[in-house]
This record gives sequence, C-alpha cells and structure tokens, in this order.
Amino acid sequence: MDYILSIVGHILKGCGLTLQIYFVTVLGAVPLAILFALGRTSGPKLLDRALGIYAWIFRGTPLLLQLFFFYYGLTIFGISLPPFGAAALTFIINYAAYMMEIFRSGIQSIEKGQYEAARALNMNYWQTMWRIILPQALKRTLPPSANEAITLVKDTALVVVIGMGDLLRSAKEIFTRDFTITPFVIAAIFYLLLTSVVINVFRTLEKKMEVYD
Amino acid sequence: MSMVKLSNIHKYFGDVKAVDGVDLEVKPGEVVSIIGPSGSGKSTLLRCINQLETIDVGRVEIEGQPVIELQQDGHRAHFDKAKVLIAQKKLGMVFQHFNLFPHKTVLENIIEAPLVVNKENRKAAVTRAEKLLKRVGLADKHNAYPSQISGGQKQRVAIARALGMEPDILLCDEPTSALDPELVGEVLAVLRDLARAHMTMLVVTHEMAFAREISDRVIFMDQGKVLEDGSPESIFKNPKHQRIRDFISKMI
Repeated sequence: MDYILSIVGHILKGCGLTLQIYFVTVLGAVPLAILFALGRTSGPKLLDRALGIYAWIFRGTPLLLQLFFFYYGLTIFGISLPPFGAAALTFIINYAAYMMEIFRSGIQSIEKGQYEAARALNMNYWQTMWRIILPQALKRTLPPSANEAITLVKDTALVVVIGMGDLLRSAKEIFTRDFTITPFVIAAIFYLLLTSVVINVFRTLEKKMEVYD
Repeated sequence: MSMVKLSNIHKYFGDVKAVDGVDLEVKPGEVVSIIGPSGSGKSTLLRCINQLETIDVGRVEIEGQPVIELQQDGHRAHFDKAKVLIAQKKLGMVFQHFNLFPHKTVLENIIEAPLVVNKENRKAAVTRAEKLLKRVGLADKHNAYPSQISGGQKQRVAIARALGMEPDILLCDEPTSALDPELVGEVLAVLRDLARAHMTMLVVTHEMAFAREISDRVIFMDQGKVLEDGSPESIFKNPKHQRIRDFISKMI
C-alpha cells in the first residue's frame, strides 16, 4: 500500500504539468479559435484563404512533428523556446486549428433569420455575433468540442519528447526503476479520472443549455 | 412628411428583376397592405426598406432622411452614417418565421435590443417589455423560451420585440403565413389593435379579408411592379386589371 501511495505521489507531481499544459491550451486555443472562426465566416476572402491553409497544415501534420518543430526547429531562426513555452505554443496553435473548424461549422449552421432579426433590431456585427450567433453556435458545437477536450488530455503526454516530466513520464520513471507495470495502471487511472472530469463538465454544460430546446 | 418614401426601386437577383421600378409613399399612421401572387416581389420590396436587401437602383427615405441612393450607373450617394442609423431605428420588422432568439426567454428577446443597442437601463426596458407582453396577451409567458410556446404566441412575442425598440413604422413580412390556420386570428388581432392605434404599418400578406379590413391602402404587385395602388374598396371591388380580379377571386 505504501508502495502504491509513493507511486501515486510521484505521478501526482507529473500530473501538475499535464494540467498546466491542459489549461494553458484551453485558455489560449478557444478564444483564438473563436476569433479565427469569425474571420473565416465574416472576414475578407484572403483571410479565409489564409486560415484555410493554416488549418490544412496544422490538422494535416502530426502534433508530434509540430512539437519538434517549435522546440528544435525554431532554433534555426534564432528563436529558442523553453520546453513549456514550446509545448504551450504548439498545443495552442494545433488545437486552435481544430476548434476553429468546429466553431466555423457551428456559426454556419445558424439560420439566416437570426442575423436578419438582429439586423432589423439594428444590432451591429459584434453585438449580433457575441449575443445572438455565438451562444447558439457554441451550444451546437459542444459534442465535437468535448471530443477535442478529451483528446487533449491524452495528447499532453507527447511533451515527454521535448524532455518534460508529465504524468506519463513520472510513471515511466518508476517502471524503469522497479520494473513493474503498477505505475502504468495508476497512470491509466489518472487519465481516466481527468477525462471523466472533462466529460462531466461537458455533460453539465449540455444539460444547462438544453433548457431552450 | 412621408414616413417611408421609395423612389424607383430596383432589385435584381441575377437576371431576375425581383423589384422593377417601384415608387411608394407611406404617410404617418397609414396602414398599407401589399398583396399579389408569390414571387411578385412583395417581400423583397419590404426588405429593401430596412436594408435586409440592398437595392440596385433607387432611393429609400425614412421620415425625410435618405438612407440609401443608387443611380443607374452604380453611383452611390453618401449620407451621414449617424443620421442613417437614427432613421433605420424608426423601423421595426416582423418576419414570416418569427426569428425569435431561441436561447433567450420571451422577456430577454424583447429587452435585448433596447439594452444592447440603445443602452437603456434594464429596469426601464423590463417595465416596457412587460407592458408590451400584456398588450399582446402574453403577460404570463415572459420566462418561457420560444420553443415552449405556440407559433401564434411566437409571432406575438416577435411583434412585442419589434415594438420594444419603439419604432414609428412596422414592417410585417407575411406575419401569418407560417401559422396553423387556428392561430392566425390571434396574430391578426394584435396587428389590428396596432392599426387602430395608428401605428404606421406596411404589411405583406395573403390574408385578403384582413388586408381589406385594416388597410387604408392596398398595393397589388405583380412581376416586381406595382400594378395598382388604391383604397381597399377599389382594389377588392373594382380592380382595373383583370390580373387582380383573377387573383382576388382565387384567394377568397
């Protein structure tokens, strides 16, 4: 029992980093994705085109490769980011690309009549988007957003490749030391707990927004 | 002064001339019905008034303030933006499909624009909204969401929402066309009440009896043009055009 507790303690330390990356990514990627989605749906053609290329690149190449690029690759241009900075930047840019496309589909699914009603009431663009369109669009995109939020929990494990000590890395260290799979089982339980929290948050959000259907 | 003055309005959708050179003036307190076969440009004309459709040629004036003017050669006149906005705010609109905001309650639908656009204080907006709900007979529904009320109730909320911005002119685009027959009456009753209170109204409708009853003037549109513009009596009893006679006999 003491052995297991010591493993849990060690893994918890790694878990802190996992959570940090998680929240930094969510806080960075979501607002960025909303802005980008607005850019794609109501900005000039050129912006839409540019954002399309951005999505193409970041959804079309491995996250792992992007992580290498921002950590090692940028040094070629004289930019050297600390591991956390490189990881945060990579995750934010990568997830913003996916979320942008999700929000874009949500925005485009809102009926024309909603825009017309807002326009007839003399609401301006930002009032219309912020108060009328986005709340409805975000509600509709909760299920695919939940998928992304769950995937992100597990994707954080990739940061080991740039030498960061996350949840999985902590487990691996014990495995290497003691040669037992117990730490992996515990790590799996940790991931399940984290994803359960995410699932529940989204379930609560969906319930809350169901009132108006 | 006219409440609405349209001069030589043209609106094309590709090769289709939806509105083809329409002139129209509406005086204060006047109730004008626009009737005609579907595809005749009635709704498009109405939507040109509050810029939901951008005209291709012509001039729109609201209470003497020009809001848009485009010449045949595409030249666009420029008007003071602040003045245009003030003029636009004189217009309220009611849609065929209500277009209520589904994520907001009935009360929130009504106070949204007064709060956000006019920056009114909440208490005043709520007080007025509650009065409006009473007027349209829905005082008990202010916490309901649009999905929880009937089509007729939705349209009455939509009317209250438009009135919440205290417009001088109400544009109604087929306000009862999407309703089950048994719900039409309650919406027409509200509009009738507004007409009696001398609200200036432009109503695109297929309800011939209603148009005849409440209108000061009836306009018959066909293929983007105004075929006849006159009193309900003259249009319904002695229309000059055979086309109108045929239409009306079919509708009644």
